[in-house]
Amino acid sequence: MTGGASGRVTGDRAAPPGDWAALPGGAARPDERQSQYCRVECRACGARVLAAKFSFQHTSVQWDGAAVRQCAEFSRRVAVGEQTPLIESCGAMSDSIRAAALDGRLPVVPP
Amino acid sequence: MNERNGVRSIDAGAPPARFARGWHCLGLAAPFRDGEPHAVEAFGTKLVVFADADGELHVLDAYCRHMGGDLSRGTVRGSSIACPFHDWHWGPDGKCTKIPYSRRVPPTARTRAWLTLEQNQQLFVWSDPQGNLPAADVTIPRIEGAYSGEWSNWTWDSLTVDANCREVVDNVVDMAHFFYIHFAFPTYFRNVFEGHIASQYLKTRSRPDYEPDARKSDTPTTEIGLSSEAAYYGPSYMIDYLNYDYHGVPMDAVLINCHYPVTPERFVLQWGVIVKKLPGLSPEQADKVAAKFAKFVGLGFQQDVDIWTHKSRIDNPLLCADDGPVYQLRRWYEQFYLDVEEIPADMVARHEFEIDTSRAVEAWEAEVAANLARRSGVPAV
Repeated sequence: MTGGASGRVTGDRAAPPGDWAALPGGAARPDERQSQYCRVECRACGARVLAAKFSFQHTSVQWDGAAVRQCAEFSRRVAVGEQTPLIESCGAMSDSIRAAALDGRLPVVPP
Repeated sequence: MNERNGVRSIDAGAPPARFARGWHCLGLAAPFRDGEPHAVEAFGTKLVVFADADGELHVLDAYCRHMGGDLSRGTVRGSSIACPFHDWHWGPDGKCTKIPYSRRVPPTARTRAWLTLEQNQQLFVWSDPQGNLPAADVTIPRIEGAYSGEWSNWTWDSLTVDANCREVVDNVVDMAHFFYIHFAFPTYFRNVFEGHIASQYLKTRSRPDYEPDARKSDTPTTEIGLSSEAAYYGPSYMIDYLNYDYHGVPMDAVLINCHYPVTPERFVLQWGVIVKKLPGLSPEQADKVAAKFAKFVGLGFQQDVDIWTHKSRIDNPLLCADDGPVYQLRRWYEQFYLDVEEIPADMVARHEFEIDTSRAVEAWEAEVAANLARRSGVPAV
């Protein structure tokens, strides 16, 4: 099932991340809330993530390993001894996602 | 199926039969160093913890492989633990070191020895159903305050809870329960899951309708602002760095929230607190501040436990737009119940989720105002 607001999406719409059905163990399930993930490219370093917004403040972001490695802020901070799981966010990526929402490339759709 | 005739059904599922892979904290290390063996019921069995002559802590399965005697009721002999039943001696590596009445120790006489770690004055054991050693990056980080004279000593408390331990882990993403269960007022809530670490960034303010001193004191109640950065390192050990603005005085505290499973349907929840000494406070006064804070935390956990021991397990939570990433957290948590080779890359890939708290804050401000109005006898507008 897909969300009903596809007409407003102009960016490259992406499937929800993860092949959840194929998961071994079976206890983990997909979030039933309809998230309209879109691919967003960082304006600073070109790292690409999947982002979805239920509202202007709400944001969910799915990274992959390549994006984490490409991220300029993460790289800079890892070089001085930080671990990426303990970095709250990347400022440039947050700005890029906000800009995508503002100019309509990333739909803001409640589930 | 979740629905029949439009009625939502609960899928209670079943707790996993195996225990999570990871470092599990058994408590503060010092109390285990009294020369006696200590019993810990965990991971579906009983463990014995004992210190050798050098003070190094060791953990073995408690049930003697000879005739099943309980080593935790035995005696420490040098670096071995002797069974109270037939005096078989077991060494730190799990090998039988001596059977005083026998001419020979059977070459197969070996029991399970648990890999241990001491960090932050706490004792950890490594649990891995596959029997592997931890990967190099899977460790328990050092808390600087735990090694500094500028901080208090640890408080330490525990509760045994009759529920599967996933209930406590779910709290990582549960923004709204902080208002309803813990009388806090979340204004900012964000999660990051990556690798074996799950973080929660939380800002709360106090609830004037639940200030204990609100009516006792003449001084106007000012808001206590709290900023919390908490992270699970693996399935069971959370470090929570807290910064309070306590009536204008900044306070730093570290809270440990950890657990170990006893059975798939029982776990031991433990928590400990250290606080940074305020200028002019003696070590004893700092310990008192920590104890007071730990008591407050304990009340919060008791409220959680009351919920957990009465609720249904639920594998298909029904979420609204302003709930946190429960499913994503559980997917992250699932990694600890899979063989390492089976963990898909996207299960541990970085996921960020920031909740929009604006609607919640609006509703809660109205609720707090109504509670205050009712208390003062003036009807809410």
